[in-house]
Amino acid sequence: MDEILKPQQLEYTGAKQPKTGEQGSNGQLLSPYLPSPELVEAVNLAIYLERPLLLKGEPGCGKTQLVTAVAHELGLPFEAWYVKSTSRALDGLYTYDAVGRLRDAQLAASGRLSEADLRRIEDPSTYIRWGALGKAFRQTRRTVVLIDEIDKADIDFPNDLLLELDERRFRVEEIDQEIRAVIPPIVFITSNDEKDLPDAFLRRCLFHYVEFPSSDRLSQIIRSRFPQTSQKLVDQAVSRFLELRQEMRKDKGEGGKKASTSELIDWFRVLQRYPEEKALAQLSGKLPFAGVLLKSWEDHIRYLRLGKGG
Amino acid sequence: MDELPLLELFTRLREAGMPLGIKDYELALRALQGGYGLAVQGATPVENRAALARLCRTLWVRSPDEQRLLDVYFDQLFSHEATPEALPKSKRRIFQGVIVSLVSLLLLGAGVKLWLTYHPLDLILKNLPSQPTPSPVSSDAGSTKTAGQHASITPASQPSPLPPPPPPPIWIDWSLPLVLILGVGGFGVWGFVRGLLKRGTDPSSESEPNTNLASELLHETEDEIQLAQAVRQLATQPDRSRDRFVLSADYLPVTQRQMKQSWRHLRRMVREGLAVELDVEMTVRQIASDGLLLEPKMISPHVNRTELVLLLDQDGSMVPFHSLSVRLAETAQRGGRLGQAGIYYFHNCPVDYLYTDAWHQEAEPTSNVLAQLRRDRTVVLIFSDAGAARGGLNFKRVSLTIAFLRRLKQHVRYVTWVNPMPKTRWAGTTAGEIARYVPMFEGTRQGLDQSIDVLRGRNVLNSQLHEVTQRQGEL
Repeated sequence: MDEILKPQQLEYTGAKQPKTGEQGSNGQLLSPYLPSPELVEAVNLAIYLERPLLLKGEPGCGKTQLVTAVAHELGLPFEAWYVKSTSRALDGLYTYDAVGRLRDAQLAASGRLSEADLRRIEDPSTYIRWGALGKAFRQTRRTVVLIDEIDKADIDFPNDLLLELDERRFRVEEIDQEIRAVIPPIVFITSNDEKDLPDAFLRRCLFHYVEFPSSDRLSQIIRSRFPQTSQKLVDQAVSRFLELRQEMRKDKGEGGKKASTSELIDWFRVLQRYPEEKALAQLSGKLPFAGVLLKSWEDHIRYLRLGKGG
Repeated sequence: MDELPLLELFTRLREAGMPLGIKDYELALRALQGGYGLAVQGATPVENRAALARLCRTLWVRSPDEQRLLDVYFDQLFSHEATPEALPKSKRRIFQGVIVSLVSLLLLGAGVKLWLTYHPLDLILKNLPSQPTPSPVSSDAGSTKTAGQHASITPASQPSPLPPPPPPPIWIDWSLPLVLILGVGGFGVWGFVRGLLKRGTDPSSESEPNTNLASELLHETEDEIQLAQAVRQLATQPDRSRDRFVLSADYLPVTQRQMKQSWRHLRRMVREGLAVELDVEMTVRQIASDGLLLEPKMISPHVNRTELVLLLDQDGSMVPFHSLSVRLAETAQRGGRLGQAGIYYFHNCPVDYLYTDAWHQEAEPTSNVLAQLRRDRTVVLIFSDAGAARGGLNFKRVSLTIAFLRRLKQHVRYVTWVNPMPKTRWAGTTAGEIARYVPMFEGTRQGLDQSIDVLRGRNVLNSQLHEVTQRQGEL
């Protein structure tokens, strides 16, 4: 009881990494994640202040990955809510299966339901399907909740979540019941900055911009993912990758789509399948496996010849 | 010094227009109590500062613009605290200034008295032309300007002006130290008076670099709230009577944030797309008529289907309002889901071509643009002074504009006009004439809100009624 009333302080360090092949609570394969110290601090602050943490950054810089890493290190259950353009705020709390209830009512009226079924449908909460936030509020353990790409939904979507995030309660109109969070969940919200979020919503969040990792950190990330590969290959690949990125930044400015960390990881995965000498040889020539890094025809034409050998 | 931590920074950020509330401050306090952003054992002051800055950034900052704002204010506030001797130093400087000026005043008085007793006025007037000669020497001896030494300096600096014989020796004897004393004394008095004046007009002389920085930031972030802030600050400081005017290139009656909020209202919900929502009412009605449930009735969900087309007048009399129109375009594009918010530019009045860029380089025939508009969802907002900035009535412009509006109204249902000039300036100008054919509003918050109401199909009746009554009045 005491534990529920006064939750002990959780602390994320970013040091505990999953073993290869380890699976998360949702069955997803976990991979190592190396956060920057600033990011770790922001996460801890969000946990301590019980505020949602809004993460922004380039696509593919590991915003979503962070959340699974946090849930894994703290050993907490993890609920994800992947927002779509048609999502409504209510979807994250609960959905009410009105059609199912109607069908059951019809079946019951025609006397085609068993005794057990009848008892089941007596209870109106049978037709409620809880969303990610709804589940997290009802849990007795602290839950890590991810609201992914919140900017994809309608512009009013974030505003509809204010009360839920602020006071951690909501009302299920269909059964006239109020759900209050037993224990405040740790909420992460990611945004790709496609749309501005409303001020009222921003006010309730902590904010962190996930920066693109430095070249040392990139090497570390690659090494932690592919521990068997040689340092030389990693360094070569990272420097080649950064060269490409630098070039892209020069051409497109800060706003354009640049090759991201996740693309680097994919690219390296292809590279390390080859013997080391061959991979190194490929790296020094024309950009190998360019399809992994260059995602548009223009990029393809422009950066493919950008080899060291010319 | 028993103040709340970070309060100064918080207040300054708020004054600079960052949307922070008491809650945000409480949050910072709680974080500090929780040991975040505080000194770690063995960390250098620089590291401690960085930790505190990081805390503030995570708690209060939500965009790159705000980050810049925070960085500037943070540096201002905490670089002062990092060098605690800064304040005593300035006090010492003032003290020194007072002493120096008092001593030089004494010297000046004594020198003048002595001089007058030895040299009556007629002698001085007679010798006046020769005065320039000793001045280079005095600047030479200026480095040794202590009071008691003046007797010993004179023989030392004598040899060089000796060769020319005409000036009487007594004159040289006295003129040299006198010029020296006068110089030192005058300088001291001037410095002292200046210091006093400065202290009088500006009680916090340390905040002077701050205002400079704020204005730099103004250019950098182009944030109009700060401009408003600067105006307000000047208005509340009565003793700054000299610089009551703020010179700024921007005219910003509506802030960016207000624009965003206004755009948010521009939405027309249309049922569209796949039928995925249960239409309870229809289903119940169906059951009632059929006697049993055959199938649930589904309906398409509500979606916001508004496509905004912005027509912006560019160049000419609109130059002062360019920053406003850029903002309007930016907020419309980013702030809301307005379908494909098309932005077109024109000069004075749209005729055969509209331009897709502000520099009138890429033209598109007006008929093409109009053909793409969809009557049921597109709305058009025109931003132009309609000749009100320059004044005068231009019939050609009126007829061209009205012809365009007529064409436009065949393609879209709602058209509105935002005029950056105040309403009082429309009467008797081209704008006044055009305002009879299209709902025209001022470029203020209210005006923008009203024009968005028009685009939503509200208020239209009022403006049309207004139009009708005006026409009747005309007849």
